[in-house]
Amino acid sequence: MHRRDVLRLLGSTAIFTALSTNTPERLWAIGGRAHRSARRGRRLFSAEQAETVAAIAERIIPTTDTPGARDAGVAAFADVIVAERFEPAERSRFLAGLADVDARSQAMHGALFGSLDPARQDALLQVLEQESLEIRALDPDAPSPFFRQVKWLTLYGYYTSEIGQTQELHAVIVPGRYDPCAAVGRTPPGEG
Amino acid sequence: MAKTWDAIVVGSGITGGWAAKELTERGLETLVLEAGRPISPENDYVEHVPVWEKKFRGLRDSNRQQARQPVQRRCYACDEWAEQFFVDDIDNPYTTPDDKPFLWIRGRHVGGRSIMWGRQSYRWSDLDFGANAREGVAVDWPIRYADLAPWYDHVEDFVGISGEALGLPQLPDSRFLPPMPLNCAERVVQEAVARHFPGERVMTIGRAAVLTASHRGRAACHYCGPCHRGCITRSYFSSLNATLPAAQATGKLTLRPHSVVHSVLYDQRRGRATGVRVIDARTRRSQDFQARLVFLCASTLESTRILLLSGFANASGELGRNLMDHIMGGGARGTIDGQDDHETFGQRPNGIYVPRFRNVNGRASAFLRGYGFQGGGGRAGWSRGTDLPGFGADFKRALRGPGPWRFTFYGFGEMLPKPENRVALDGDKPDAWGIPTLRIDCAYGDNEQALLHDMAITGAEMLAAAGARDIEPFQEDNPPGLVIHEMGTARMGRDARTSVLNGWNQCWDAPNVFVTDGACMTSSACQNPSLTYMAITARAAAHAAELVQRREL
Repeated sequence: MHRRDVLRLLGSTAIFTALSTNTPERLWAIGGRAHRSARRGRRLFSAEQAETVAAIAERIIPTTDTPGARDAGVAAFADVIVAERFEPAERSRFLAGLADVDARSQAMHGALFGSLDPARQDALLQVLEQESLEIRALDPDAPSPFFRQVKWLTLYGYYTSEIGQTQELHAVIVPGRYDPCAAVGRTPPGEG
Repeated sequence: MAKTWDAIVVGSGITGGWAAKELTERGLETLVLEAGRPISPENDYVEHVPVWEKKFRGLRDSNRQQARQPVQRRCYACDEWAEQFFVDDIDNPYTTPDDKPFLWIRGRHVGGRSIMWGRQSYRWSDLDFGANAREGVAVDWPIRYADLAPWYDHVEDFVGISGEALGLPQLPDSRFLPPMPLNCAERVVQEAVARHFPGERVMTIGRAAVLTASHRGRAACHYCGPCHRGCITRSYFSSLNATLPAAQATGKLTLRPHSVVHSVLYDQRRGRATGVRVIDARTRRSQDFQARLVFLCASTLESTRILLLSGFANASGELGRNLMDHIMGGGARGTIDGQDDHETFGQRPNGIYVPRFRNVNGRASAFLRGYGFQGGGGRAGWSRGTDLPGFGADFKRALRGPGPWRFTFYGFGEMLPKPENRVALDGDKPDAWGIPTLRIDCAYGDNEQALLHDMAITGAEMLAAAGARDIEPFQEDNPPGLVIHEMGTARMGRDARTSVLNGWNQCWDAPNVFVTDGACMTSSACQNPSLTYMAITARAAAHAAELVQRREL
């Protein structure tokens, strides 16, 4: 089969959710192992940094009629990815950007980002997003600015979490059929 | 005295499974030797493990992969779930010239790469089998479509291929199970291709070894999507899911995992193989097994490596030469407007196919041979959000629904056989079992690059015909090997002076040694080759059993 493309395409619609009815014990066992290894992984973020990431993520994907990024554990996911998957330069850029958010927050409001009210948080994030868009507009190949990094981590961490998959996307692990032209909204929507 | 087996099959993947099935069903006591570990579907298949249970959520442990699987990680299927099905590159080294990278993607376990394969299944035709002779390229195939047609029937009846009959001479129809459907965007493109390129191009659903109806005790697909992680319902074909259980049922099969075959034992005086030398993967101890017949089904380059280590089968000087892959990654993508009210449900493990239309029916091009397109359409999901401006509640609500329909044509082209594309033993670099490894010297040539360029043009043409916007033609720069259709290096031919195998896949130098995996291929066509490997293997195994019965072997 045509490989990377079909995979890309397959990735564009719903993928995993609810546990297979086949072998729940096995799936739970594997899941338990994965969680244990995640806990064993070194922690990069301090408690303060983790709180700032969680607060930013929650403004990007807030709690609405479904849970938001904080409940979905986006900060813990971001810690794993920044610590173990980011290249050193990406990691430095991310950590510097994170420090900059709290520094600006302190300078403007005398408090860390996580302590601000939502309106002030959003105002600061809008500035960061504008700066990020301008950098990318000047050079589309420029390394991801901090805001784009944290936005990507938030979306990826949220939509691949159990909450994101099951409560937000209603993704189905075993659809049981393929409907090539289903009415939008009549079936569970897709993953990215 | 050591037991003498009727037959030894080296390798338990897509061809080894077929050799085992055909030989055992004809009454031969068969020993299948597999270099890797056993796979237990109940424990090793992981297709339903949710993404949130993976530490990196599908992004993979890049540090671990860089350390242990720097080559295998280049394969899309070597993901956080399925990386266990790919070899450890440190234990299984090979070398290349610095300026000629070759990616050798391998699985070493019972089932081989039939566990992770792409499942696309297409017959070849005399456009392919006659091409070398017509154009004076390399040597002629010793067989034609008519030799293989009944064996395509035979394997398809067992495998189960879903697809649509088109009646095209260059892509003969298989015995099909019902086709999977095209989605809304794909139908738009299909109609445009039919309207703008009548009699030349046609777009159909991929022909896939995935069941659309229950078949021979295996269940129809449940559309979970990631077949390469295994399939607990056995809905796609693999040796582990189908041929090995059939061979087991005869009572004539012995399967020995952890058995790394070093070489074929050869009696020079009689011009016959007597068995194989095995190194136990766990104890590193060497042990010989005797047999009347040996089938090499270890995968293209592993079978040739074994022959190179065996010291025969190379009177022609062609052993190791004429390595081919396909060339992939020319094409175009674009956005299809409309159909906003529709989306897909379920993960169809299959895409579209545009059969070869270059150098067909007397139309000539500036290059030899041709290519086919795979690909398909689907709506963008949440990942489009990173580059959409905004955040917050409205942004979240917008990402809940699907994005635009995107469509991609992705080409796969034929690679010409050339003697300078070759492998040889590299005595300086043994593998973890002390066995000399391969030095692979292979590069695409001008004809392949011309195909890649043409793919971008014709792909964009078809998207334009379909009214797509934001059309992006592309030409990727992939090293050979990555298509994972490597073939050749022990080619079939009509003459012992210019080929390694005869028209029944027997070594000219040892008629009781058959090579029926991709190593035997004399040219590469542009279709995915596994179905043809299966038909060739079944044909050769039936012939071998007949020779044994007639006491000619």
